Amino acid sequence: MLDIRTTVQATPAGRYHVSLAVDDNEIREAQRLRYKVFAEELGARLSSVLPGHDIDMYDPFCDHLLVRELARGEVVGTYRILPPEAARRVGSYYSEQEFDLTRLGFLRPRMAELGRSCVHPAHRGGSVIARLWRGLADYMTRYGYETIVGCASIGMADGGHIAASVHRQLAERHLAPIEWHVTPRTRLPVESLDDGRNAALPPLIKGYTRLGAMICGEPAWDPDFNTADLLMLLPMAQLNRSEARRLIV
Amino acid sequence: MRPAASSFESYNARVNPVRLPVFLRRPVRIGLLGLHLVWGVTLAGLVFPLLGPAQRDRRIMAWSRRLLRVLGVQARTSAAPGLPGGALLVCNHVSWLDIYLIYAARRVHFVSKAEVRQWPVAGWLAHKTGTLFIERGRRADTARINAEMRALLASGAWVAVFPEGTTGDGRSLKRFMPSLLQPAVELNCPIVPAACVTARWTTTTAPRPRTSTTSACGKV
Repeated sequence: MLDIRTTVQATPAGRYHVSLAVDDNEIREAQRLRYKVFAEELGARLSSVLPGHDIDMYDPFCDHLLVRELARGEVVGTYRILPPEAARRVGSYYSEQEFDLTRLGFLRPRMAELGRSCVHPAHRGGSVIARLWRGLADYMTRYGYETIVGCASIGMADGGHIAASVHRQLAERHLAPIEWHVTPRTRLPVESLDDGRNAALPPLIKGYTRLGAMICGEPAWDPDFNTADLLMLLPMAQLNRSEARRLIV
Repeated sequence: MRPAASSFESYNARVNPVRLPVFLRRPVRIGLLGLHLVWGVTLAGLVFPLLGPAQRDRRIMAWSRRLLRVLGVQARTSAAPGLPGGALLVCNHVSWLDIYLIYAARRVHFVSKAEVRQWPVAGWLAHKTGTLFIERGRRADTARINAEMRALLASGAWVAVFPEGTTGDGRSLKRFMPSLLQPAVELNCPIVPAACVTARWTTTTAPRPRTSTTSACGKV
């Protein structure tokens, strides 16, 4: 009974620390990182009220996971989580701009949406994303949500061939059962874009599928970010535990 | 902006951004404190029912940080350990301010004596922020509280106790009451020791002594 858990890391191990943003300053820090990555690096067209910040109407309702580099205190990774209570208040999930989520109706009361994932370019070794997933796992268990959904984006700089190829590969092995399929509002014409070659899966999507996530149908085209977005869904009950232990610190 | 801090986080580093004449400081602070309390009651009463649990936790922490700012308290807090799942925070008790210092750093559920529930405003706020109230001196109540603590810890929440059972002067510790530590033992979950330390100093730039409080977390 009294065996002391000596393996538990009590001090923030390593270089990074994950937490939820508390005050508005911390949310601003996340928005600045998002602007840096999405607008400056990936060239997304963001209509923001504050220069240098990626702000949208969902932000005040969301919970923002932050990973800080301990040495300098700087935010180097972030995820945005829209919990079901907040989605009810806003009236929709973010993905509903791109997909018709009618079939997921019965999951909604316990469904959290993940989005705006980004990591500072100088910190892309994989341990920041592991920290974010650690924070996400704690969040899901702490607040008792059962399903994670989110749009996984694939760049369309090549005209969409990679996106079509990634969709085909995922559809073969990681397609959700039919009752969880959703309809994109602006469908990407995958059949005419797919040239039959196997493009490499983006690392983030690969990570999600390893954890047990599935795609809910065909990709939608997001003209603002110029990406093909796949709706991915992970029921916590189907989380691949051994994989999670390996991937999540 | 956040100062570059290695293991310490500092809230409200600029406590007095505007230098008020001395005779105005107290009335201004008291006025702001009153407004802040009204805002707290509004949040807990009208806004909380609309929010999800994570947003409620966030508001509690943000409100506490602002309270420290209103009171002119500069808090320096060591980074809370990044533990997965629930943990029991064990802390010495110096004053009622400890509660908001801990809230500023970490969302926890406090265990408090039942009398606090009857205090005007503060008791109601404590109830709304998920405080567990224990009737001291009733053995059966300890069992009830232990069950509630176990449920919270198992769900991944942090619970905080002041095992001295009363406030001290911050220089020495009184005897710990062990019964509230039992849930952590039963669940084999980590115990995080914390210390609230109050420092007073005068500098040439600050004509009045300022209060600074440090809470340090370490490993058992």
